[in-house]
Amino acid sequence: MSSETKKLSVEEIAATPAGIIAPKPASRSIFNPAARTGNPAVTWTIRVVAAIVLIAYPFLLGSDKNRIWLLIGTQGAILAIGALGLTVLTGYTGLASLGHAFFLGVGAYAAAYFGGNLGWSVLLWLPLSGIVAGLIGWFIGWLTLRFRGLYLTFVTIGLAFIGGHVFLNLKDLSGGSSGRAFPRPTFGDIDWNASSSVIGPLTLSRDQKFYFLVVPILLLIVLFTSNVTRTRMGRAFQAVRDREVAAELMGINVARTKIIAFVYSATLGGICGALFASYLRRVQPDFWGLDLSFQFIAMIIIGGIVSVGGPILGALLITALPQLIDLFADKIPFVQQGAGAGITKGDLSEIINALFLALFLVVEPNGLVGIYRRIRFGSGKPKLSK
Amino acid sequence: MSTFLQLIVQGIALGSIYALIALGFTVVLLAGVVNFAQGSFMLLGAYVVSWLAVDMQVPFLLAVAGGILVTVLLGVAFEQLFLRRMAARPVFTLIMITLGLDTILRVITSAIWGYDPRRNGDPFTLSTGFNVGEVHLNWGDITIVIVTFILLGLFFAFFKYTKYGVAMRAAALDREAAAAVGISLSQVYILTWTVAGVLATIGGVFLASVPRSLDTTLGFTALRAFPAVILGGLGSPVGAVVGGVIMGVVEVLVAGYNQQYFPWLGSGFNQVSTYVVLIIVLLVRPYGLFGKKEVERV
Repeated sequence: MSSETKKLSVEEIAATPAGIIAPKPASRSIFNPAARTGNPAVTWTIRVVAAIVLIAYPFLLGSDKNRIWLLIGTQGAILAIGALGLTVLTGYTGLASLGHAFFLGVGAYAAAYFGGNLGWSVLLWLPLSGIVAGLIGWFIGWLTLRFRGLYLTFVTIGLAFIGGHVFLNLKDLSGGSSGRAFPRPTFGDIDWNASSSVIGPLTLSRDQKFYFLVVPILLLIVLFTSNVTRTRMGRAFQAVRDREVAAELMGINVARTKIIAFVYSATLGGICGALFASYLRRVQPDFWGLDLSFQFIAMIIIGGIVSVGGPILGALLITALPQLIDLFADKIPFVQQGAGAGITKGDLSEIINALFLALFLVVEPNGLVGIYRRIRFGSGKPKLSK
Repeated sequence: MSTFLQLIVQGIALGSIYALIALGFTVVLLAGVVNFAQGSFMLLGAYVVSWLAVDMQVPFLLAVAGGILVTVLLGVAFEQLFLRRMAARPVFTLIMITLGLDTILRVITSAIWGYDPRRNGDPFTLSTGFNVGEVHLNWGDITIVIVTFILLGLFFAFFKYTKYGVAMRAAALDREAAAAVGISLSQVYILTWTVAGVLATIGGVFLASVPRSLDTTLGFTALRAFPAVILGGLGSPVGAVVGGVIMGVVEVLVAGYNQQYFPWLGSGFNQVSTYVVLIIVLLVRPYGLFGKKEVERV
C-alpha cells in the first residue's frame, strides 16, 4: 500500500500538517503550460486567447441583463486574491487556518481608515491595507509558531471570533453593528460612484470599472505567487509542510518560513478584504467571521489545494454557485417566495450549495485541478511495483 | 464572595454542558473526523425534543429518547453514506463535508420550525431550588450537573472496561493495526456516531433549558465549546471533560465581572473569553492539558 493512502491515527491528525492537507506532492502551475509542452507557439496562443477573453468578458457580459456574470467575474477575481494567500499558507506551507477572514477584515478596516477617514488615494490605501494586514499576520504567525496541525486550526477559529469581537467594539472604525461605508477607488477625475463614466474611447459602467481594476491586480499576484512557489522560499514552504524536522535538517529556518507564509497570506488577504469591502460598499463587522473563512477553505479545496490555478477556479465557482442557483430557483415549484417557515429561495440555495460541494468532494477529492490533471496527465495514481 | 460562589455554581452547570459537547466532538475525532456538524446535531436534537414534548404532548423523557433516536440515526446514516467513502482523505476535505452537513441540517431545522424562540418542554423552572448559605442552587442546574456526571461515568466505564470501548480506543490509536487484529472498524464507527448523537441531543436539550430558550443560534454555541476540546488536548476524552468545565466557569465568571472590572474589553467579551484562555494555555502547553506530545521520527 502506498504511503499516500495510509490512514492516519488521531495523534497524527492532531499534530501533523500532512494529515490535514492533501498528501499530494506539489505540482506545476497550470498558468505555465510551457513548463510541460515546451512549445512557445502553444504557450503564446493560450496567453493571447486568455488575454482576449479577459478583456472582452465585461463587454460581452456587461449589460444590465447579464449583470450577474460580470458580478461573478469581478467578485470571483477579488476573492481569488485572498484564496491565493490562503493557498500559500494552507496548501503550500501546511498551516491550516480558519482565521483568514480576520485578515480580510484587517485589510478592509485599514482601507477604511486610510481611504475613508483620512481620505488618501487608492494608490496609498490599497498597498497599506496589505501592509497592515501583513504586519498583523507577522504577529499572529509569531504567536502561533508552537501550535501544530489541528491545534493551529482551532486557535485560528479563535482568531476569527476574537477579531470579530474587536471589530465590533472599535465603533469609530467599523461603525459598530450597523457597519460602515468603505472608500471607493479614485484615479484622477474618474468618478467611481458614477453609474457610467467615459475613459478615453470607452464608456464603462461601475462594475466594468471595478473589473478592470481588479483583474490586473489578480494577474500580477498570480504571476508573483506562481513564481514564489518555485523559488527557494517556495520549496522551503513545501518542505516545512511535508516534514518539519527533515526541513530543519536541510538548513531551512522553519520558524522564519512559517512566519513568512503567514505574512504572505495575510497581505493578500488584506488586499482582498480592502477590495471586497470597497466593492460591496457597506459591510458589517460580523461579515469578517467564520463563515467567510469557511468559504475560503471551500475555494481552495474545491479548486485544488496545492496549486496556483486551483484557488482561482475555486473562487469563481464558490462565487458563481449561489448566484446561479438563485437565478434558477424561481423555476422550482415548491419553493416559497416569502419569509417564514417552509423552504425559501435562500434556504434552497444554501442546501444545493452545500450538497454540491459535499458530493463534489466525495467524487473528486483533488478538486477542479484534480480533474484538469486527470485529463492532462492520466489518473495520476502511483503504480504499484510487483 | 457570594457573587463569586454563585457564578462558580452557574459556571459548573454551563461547563457540564460544554463537557458533553466537547466529549461528543472528541469521540468523533478519535474516529478521525473533525465534526463541524456537532452544533447542528445538537440543534436538530433539541428541536425534535421540543416538538415532541410541547407540540405532541409526549412525556419529556420519552421526547428526549425520540430526539436521541433521530440524531443517532442521522449520524450513523451520514457515516455510512458519506464518511465511509472518504476514509483516507485529507482531514480538511472531511471538514468541508461535515460543514456541508451542518449547513443543510441548520437550514432544514429552521425551515421546519421557523426562527422564533421555542420552549424546550423541560420540567425545570428558575424559581425552584434551595439556598446553601447565600448561594442559590436551582433544580435545573443540579439536574444538568447530575445527569452529566452519570453520563460521563457511563461513558468512561464503557470506554475503559467493555470490549467495544477497548475496540474504540484501539481504532483511535492505529486504525490499520486494529483492523488487523480483527476489530470491526464498521462497528466502531457506528458506535462512535451513536455516542456522538446521544451526547449532542442531551447537550442541546440542556443548552435550551431554562433560563435559556431554544432558537436557531443554538448550533453556534457548539463553536464556543470547541476551545474546551483543545484545552484538554485533542483526542483526550478526559481532557475534553475537564476543559469543558473550566471553560464554562471562565465564561460565566467573565460574564459576571465584565461590566464591573474590565468594561473596556467590550460587552459580550465572555463569548470570546474561552478562546483567549485557550491561546494563553496553549502558549504554555502547546498540546493542551492532557494531550500527548508528538514524537517525530526522521
